[in-house]
Amino acid sequence: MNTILDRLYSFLRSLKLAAVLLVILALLAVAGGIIPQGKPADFYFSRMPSVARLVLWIGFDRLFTSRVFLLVVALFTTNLTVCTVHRLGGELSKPRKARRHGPDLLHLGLIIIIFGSLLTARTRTEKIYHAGLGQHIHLPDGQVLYLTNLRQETYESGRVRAWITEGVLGPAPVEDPHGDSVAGDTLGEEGYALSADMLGIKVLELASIPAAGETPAAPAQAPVSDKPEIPQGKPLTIKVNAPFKGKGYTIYQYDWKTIIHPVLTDSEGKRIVLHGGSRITIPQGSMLFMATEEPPAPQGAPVAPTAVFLVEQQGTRTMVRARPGDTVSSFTLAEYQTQYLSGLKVKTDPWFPLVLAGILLAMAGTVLTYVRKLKGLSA
Amino acid sequence: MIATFAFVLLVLSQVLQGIWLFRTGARERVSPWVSLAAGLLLAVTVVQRSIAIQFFALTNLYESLLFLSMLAALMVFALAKLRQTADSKALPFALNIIAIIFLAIASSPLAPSDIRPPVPALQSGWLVLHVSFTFIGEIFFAVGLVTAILQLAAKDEEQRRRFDRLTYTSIAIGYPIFTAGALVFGAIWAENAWGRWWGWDPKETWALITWLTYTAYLHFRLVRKNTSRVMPVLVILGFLIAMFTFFGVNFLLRGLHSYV
Repeated sequence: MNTILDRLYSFLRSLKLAAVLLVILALLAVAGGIIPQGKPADFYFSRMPSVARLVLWIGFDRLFTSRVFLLVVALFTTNLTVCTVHRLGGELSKPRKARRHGPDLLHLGLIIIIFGSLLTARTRTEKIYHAGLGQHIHLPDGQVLYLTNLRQETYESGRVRAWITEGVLGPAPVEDPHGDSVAGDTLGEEGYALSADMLGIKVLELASIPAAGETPAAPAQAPVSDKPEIPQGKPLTIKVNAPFKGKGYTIYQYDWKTIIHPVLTDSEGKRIVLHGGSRITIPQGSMLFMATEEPPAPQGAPVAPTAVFLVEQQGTRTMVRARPGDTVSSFTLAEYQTQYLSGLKVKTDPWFPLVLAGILLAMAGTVLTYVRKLKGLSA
Repeated sequence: MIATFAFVLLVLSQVLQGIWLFRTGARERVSPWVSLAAGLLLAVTVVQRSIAIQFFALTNLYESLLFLSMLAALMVFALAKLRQTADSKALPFALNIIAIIFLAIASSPLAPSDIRPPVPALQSGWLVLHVSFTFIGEIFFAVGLVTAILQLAAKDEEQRRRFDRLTYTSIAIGYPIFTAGALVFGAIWAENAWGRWWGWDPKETWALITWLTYTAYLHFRLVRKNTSRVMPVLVILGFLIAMFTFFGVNFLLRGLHSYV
């Protein structure tokens, strides 16, 4: 029995095993680096028909979370742990001056990184919000971030230099019709997706800016506030590479979006700012604004986008496309209004400090190990 | 213009080294200084571009190649002056070729030289540390590549052992620097810029593959005799992977680093 355990122990602490596992991990990473990750099954059948079935069967379409990869990582971690404990025991039995703890620190750091990664993978949350001026987003600690200023700085060439979001942190509004933050979507393989919600009612409610003294003729659902009320609170600035760190969460300036809203005028000249999903009552029916369509690649003068409406009148439905100046039912499409949306990523990752500690420990161990070795080489 | 002059100096250094490469006896002493001059001129170019873009010029392929070529040229000088490598003609000769190759690619259409200030994500001190440390580590890996090839080509055991020692020394210096640059500073920057310290982006994955290859080398060296052919082959492979991470991923596998 002891012999079997001894053999197992020797096997698990073996340097040869470590070297072989490193090579296997590298080979698996090569496969993960070559095979596009996280695509739908159709993608693999169209791009690599001869091996698609195998790729999907062994889970190499999501290799870094596949059982094969995790099994090798688990074995590597075991090897690293047993090796570290064994080595540390040996070093501690030496006289203090002869001890070499660089490799121990390095290995310990790696073990902490691996466990820290597992914990962060299980517990971290992230959500991307696209919010306009005057809108607010709910934060994990119960506070609300009200956006008070959005700035996009550019170089002389027009290239983006910085995206800056300024806001104040304050308590949640007493009446929140949505009961949740402005819409957003979690990050996927292809980035984020704008939800219909976000382009619809919620933007209308908080960020529409009708002309002074006018009210929309037919608000879609929610009332429009022409002067969003910003409560007093702690001011903050968020920039790319300069995230805001709150109580247990971090807010990153993730990206920046520009969207356009068609502006209709009625026969009396009243302006109505529309958003995807806005419905307007018209005689004997209603009119739904669906979306804007970008024209084909411009040739010569730039062409304005087309606004697409679904007009329902006397039981018949008609799709209408309009450009500025065109008439839609009893309205005229006057212009487009531009709205800037700041893309903010709100992340909670309670175990990241552990990962960071592991990274720093591994770094310190690496430097210690090789400084000692180089001293030995030059001696 | 300055970079072109640096290129001419590197070619001149190459010619001088080439003439003396197969001669025995007296050493040629001019070429290290010519390479040093080329390296300093490239440093001036990097400073000039940094002023033009109002940030450290390490934000695209062209600037990265200038920086790498500069490091390689300075390394030629260092190798010619170091006690342990001063008697090797092949080592600075090969490093000089690498400097010329980097600069030649920089002047090709593959690396547009337009002066473009960095996008928001690139404006970080962590990026400067990430890229510069990675490249410094890779120049030591380049030295390892040459000594590993020389190790494989060595005719006697003594030469093989000498080149093995040089290979190990260069990797032992480059490995912690590369680890700090590519993985540690890269992770800290990614966390700061994108809110995730690791995301299996193609560039990250291939940087990890490079690191695993050199880690495997360092472990194999502990368990195998230093005359084994596996180890120099791993070092050569490691450098090829490092170069694929630098060039191949940019052109073949798009990801967050596609602007590099």
